[in-house]
Amino acid sequence: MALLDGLIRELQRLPGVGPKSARRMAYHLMVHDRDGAQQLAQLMRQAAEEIGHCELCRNLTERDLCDICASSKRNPGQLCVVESAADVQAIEGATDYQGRYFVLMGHLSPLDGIGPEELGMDQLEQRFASGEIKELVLATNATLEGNVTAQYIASLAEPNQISVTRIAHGVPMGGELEFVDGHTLRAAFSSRREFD
Amino acid sequence: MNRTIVERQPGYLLHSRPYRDSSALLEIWSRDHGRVGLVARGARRAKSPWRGLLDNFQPLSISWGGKGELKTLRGLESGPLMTPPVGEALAAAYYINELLLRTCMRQDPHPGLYARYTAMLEVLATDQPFEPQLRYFELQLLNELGYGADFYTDCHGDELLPSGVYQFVADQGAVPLLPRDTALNAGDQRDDRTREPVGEKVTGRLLMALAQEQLEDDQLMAAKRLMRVLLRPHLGNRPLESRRLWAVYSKLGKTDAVRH
Repeated sequence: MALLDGLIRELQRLPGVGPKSARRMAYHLMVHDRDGAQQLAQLMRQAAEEIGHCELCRNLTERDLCDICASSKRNPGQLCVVESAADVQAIEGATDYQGRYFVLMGHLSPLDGIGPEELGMDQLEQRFASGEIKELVLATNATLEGNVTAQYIASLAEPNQISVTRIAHGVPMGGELEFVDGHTLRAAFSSRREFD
Repeated sequence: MNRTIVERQPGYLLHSRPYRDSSALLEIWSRDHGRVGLVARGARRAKSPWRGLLDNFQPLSISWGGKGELKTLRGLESGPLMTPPVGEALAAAYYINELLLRTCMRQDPHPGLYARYTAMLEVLATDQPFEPQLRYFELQLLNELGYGADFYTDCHGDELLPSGVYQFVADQGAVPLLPRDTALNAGDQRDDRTREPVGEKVTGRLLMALAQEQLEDDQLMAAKRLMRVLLRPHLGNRPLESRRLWAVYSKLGKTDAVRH
């Protein structure tokens, strides 16, 4: 049963899949859904071969430009920098943001050897220099590394007269102050704003 | 191995990386247990109570348990909040974290070095110059690891002369150089003996200033080079990542733009 064992082992590459779920998946595909297994295999191969990074924003796409960067409806003057492709989906789903994105695929992390080059910052710097971008929204994670990454990007944008904003950090909607952790509450307090 | 339970231990997060779906592997630096490796189960889940707390350079109160080398995080509370270091100070803070990760064994307590670490972060949170403190930290690290060198007597047991020039040799300490060897690099024939030579050649004055924690500004460069030479054998083959990125962080300066 080398093939079946191999399949079970490979399925465990997926996040959230341990030996038990992998076995269930493998049996399901082999016993109940051979056609599905063929389709899955074919699509997986095609995706692995063809999906690359968008030339403008580094997000995943099988074309030169991703749908957002290629869309004429998006405002090219607004750029939102995020850490991961999942963050793009989160912002798209929750906000009415109409600008474009830049996906770093990580954050500056000195002890893991992740510096500006690994995050495509040279590419970002060129886009700032092109003069197309008027507003930059820094939506990196609210962690120390995310903040430092944001700070670094802000320093790249500075010479180009770009308005730079950072998304707000604070008390979650429906959150009770008493149960908010100290770091968050401090951030929320220090960036309080005029009541309107 | 014995099952241990540690409650509310003061400490800091040295490094964390994602582990499995929603957990994290932490390396912490604690007062009474030194470096400890912990699994933080579910720490990256949306509702994890630990999410906002897993930042470097913040005092924490940490509880863990379990047997084996890797323990399980059981509780995490925030200590008094500290302003995180910025710019070069941040680079220096990452550097000391990396030093501890590379050199200290897990579960090897270093309370003296822990106190030094805490004091170091306090200096780094301010605008004060931190270079001398960084050297004293490195020196104490070497001493605690058992690789401390004698900074008062030379390899023959004679007292160091402030104006004497010595070469630092691993396992031997300060080897006095004969006058003809004190001519430094080619073209560097300086008469001024109080200026510091380059590399492993150092004056007695520098060694004593380091040991007494009284470095002067004009000694900082030489002290940095000496400590680099002394630390090198203990850091393994890979270059330090934090050193590579020093330039990046230095560029950030002390702006308040994104800080909170």
